[in-house]
Amino acid sequence: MPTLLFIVGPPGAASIHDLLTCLAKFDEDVSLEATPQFLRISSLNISKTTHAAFTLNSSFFDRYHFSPGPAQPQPQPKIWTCKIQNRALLAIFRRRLGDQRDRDRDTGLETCECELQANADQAECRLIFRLNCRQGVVKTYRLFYESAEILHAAFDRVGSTNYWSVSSRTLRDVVEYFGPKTDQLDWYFQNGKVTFTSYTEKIQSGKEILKQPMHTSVALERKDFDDFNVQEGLHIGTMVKDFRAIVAHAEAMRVQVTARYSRGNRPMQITYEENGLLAEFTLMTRGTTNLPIPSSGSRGTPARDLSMRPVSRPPESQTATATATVAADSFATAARPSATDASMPPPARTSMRHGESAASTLAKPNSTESTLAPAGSMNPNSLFIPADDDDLQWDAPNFEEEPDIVTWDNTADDGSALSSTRRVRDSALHSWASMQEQERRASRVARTEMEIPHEIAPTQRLSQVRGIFD
Amino acid sequence: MRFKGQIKNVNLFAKFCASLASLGQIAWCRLNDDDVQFTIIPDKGSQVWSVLKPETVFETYILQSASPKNTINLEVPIQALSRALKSAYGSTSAQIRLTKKDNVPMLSLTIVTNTFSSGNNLVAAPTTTTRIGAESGEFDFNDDVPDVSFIGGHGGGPRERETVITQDIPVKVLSMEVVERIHQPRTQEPDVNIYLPPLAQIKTISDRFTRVAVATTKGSSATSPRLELSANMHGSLKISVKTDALNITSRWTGLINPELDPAHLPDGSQGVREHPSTIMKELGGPNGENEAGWSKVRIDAKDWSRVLSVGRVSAKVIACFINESGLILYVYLPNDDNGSEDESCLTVSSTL
Repeated sequence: MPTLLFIVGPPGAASIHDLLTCLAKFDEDVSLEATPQFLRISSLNISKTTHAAFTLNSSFFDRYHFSPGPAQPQPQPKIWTCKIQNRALLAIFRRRLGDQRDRDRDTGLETCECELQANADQAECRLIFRLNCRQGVVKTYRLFYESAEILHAAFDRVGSTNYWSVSSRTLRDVVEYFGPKTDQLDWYFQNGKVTFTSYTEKIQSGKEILKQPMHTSVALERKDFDDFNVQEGLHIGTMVKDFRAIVAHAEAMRVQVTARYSRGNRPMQITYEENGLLAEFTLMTRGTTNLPIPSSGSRGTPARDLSMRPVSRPPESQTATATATVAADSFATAARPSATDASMPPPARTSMRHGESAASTLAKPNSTESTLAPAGSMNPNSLFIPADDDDLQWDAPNFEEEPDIVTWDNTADDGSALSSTRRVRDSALHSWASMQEQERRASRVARTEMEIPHEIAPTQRLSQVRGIFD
Repeated sequence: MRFKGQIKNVNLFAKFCASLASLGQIAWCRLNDDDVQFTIIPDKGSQVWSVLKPETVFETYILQSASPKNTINLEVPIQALSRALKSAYGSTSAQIRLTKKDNVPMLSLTIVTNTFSSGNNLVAAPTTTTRIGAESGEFDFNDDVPDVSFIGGHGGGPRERETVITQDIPVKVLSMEVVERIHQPRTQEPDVNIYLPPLAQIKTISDRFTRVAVATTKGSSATSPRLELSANMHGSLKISVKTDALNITSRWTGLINPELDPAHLPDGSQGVREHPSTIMKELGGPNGENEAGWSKVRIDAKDWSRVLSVGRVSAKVIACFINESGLILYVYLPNDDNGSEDESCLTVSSTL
């Protein structure tokens, strides 16, 4: 039976939180793969157009051990794989779990251990996460998992001659300009300029035309890139949502991001690496040469060739199959070329072997969309007029969603009972907090209350009372 | 049909559009040689009629159309415009123009930003536009290829990073016949005119009152609470909220009631003497405490909160109370450097 054990400290736990948050934007499940060298956490999105994988090697962990178990008569693959709900993992690796600011807290995290419990004599297999906190507090989570065959994205690194490398900050600056409702992203290099364009393909007319999101293009100079080798005029199209998710995670790590690709309709890979963590995103692309250049008169769907077909195909047949291959053929285990519509990729037709996994992914609704907008930075419950010149305070507040709760603030005169109430610092720093944040905080308060024997705080100090009764 | 302008006061223009955007989705924008007007008439709630002098926000302002005074009428998704302008904060140059892509008219905003990767003292020279668009055709066509003459800045240092952002906002061109029927509502002469205290104060207190009203009437009714605003001609303003459970009032004193200018009234000084506000002042008594001297309106609290969004332009605001029937806010945008007399004005009217 395989054994797996790893230990991470608070910074590692924080990075695991970050990568899980990123993966949650692709699929609701994550796949784990353990080998003696590394642990890989990955997700494949429901339309099988994007594969996101984080490879954590032993330098990421404080301690990492994996052995596949005693040799079997039949040679087994020396790896252990499973599938697990991302939500379950995110409940363990909460936000700010490994935050430095929380370390002085009584129950700050010291180490996080993960152990695989899969013995032949035991009926149930579990993945056990143990959070060792201060004061001897230990939180143990036992998670069910399902064993699964894991799809990998195949990427031809040698054949992908186009590449660029840029700091995550630059990409974040680009993404910030994009309109919130746009879905398609296109980039190309021409005349010394790299242009990123976000747009929506949906054609709207009449009154609806005004509801169409903005068409945004951001042109960067080639010198903004640290490493650059891209064919001039080559358009690459991908999804804004995926790109946003990648950039958000990369920016949290402050890294150098590299993209490699060959041409449209072939996979592209975005990678970055730091502290034993290697992130690889393999995205299907579209050759969107027709967009965003407006053509006069009839535009028609351009010829998008199927990636697996020989290039020497006659152009007529290219136009005949005027749909883009999006998904399946970029993945090694589902190597059958299939033509799927680009704008709305159906679940890829995979080979029989993976019919099951595809079906199971399909059965679950994709609930990974998180469209949480940060609320105004003004504390909605404050009667005081904010001093800063923040523009958000002028927006109309949502009176229904944010209930008006009047509470006594007993934190000011009660310095000793730190853990019993939420702290001033929390509310001051995170008054912008989203609903999720509030939930998290609430659950943390609940948790600390459970861990520490609950005491009813005195309403008055004894020193104040003295003199009346004695 | 042509419109092209170099924006000089991006922050003001962006804030102006943001305050309009909280009141409605679609704005009617009328551009002509004299001014730029933005009007929002939502299905319900307050209307906005605003007039900007082109020189308040534009450095250059080129307009060309077949209509008199080169008028162009557009229907603009104001939230998109506001968002686009926001991305021009801190930019070196921002240019807006009317163009057409795929047969869809667009307001195209071209923004050039210069960022410095390290703290050197290079001052970015603003890029100048030399190109004049193709004269042929009805619109100023954009061929979408980055125009080298436009992008090529002058003050480039090796560490300088120049980014060109284009935001295209789809718009609709309105014909003269469509907009002819839209008129600013006529209201009777106001009973009380008063300069409002800083809108940040009013907004915070109003929003607080609204929350309290929502919290204490929970479940009883689905209707939005109403705030009662009242003012007199003796420099006092009150905001109050009343529910079954409570009654709260905030009162400001020592505010200024603007003097009426006889030149603006048809009867001159006679008109001032007979003006309702003069009568209201007398009704207020020697110290203004008489109940009869107060003009009162009840307004939808959520709509009021959206109206107060205009506070972001940090302007001076005169409120005109028409007793029990309406409230008009005249919002004067901060003057530009020249301190010109023709102030840009934004009128928000809540009719009850």
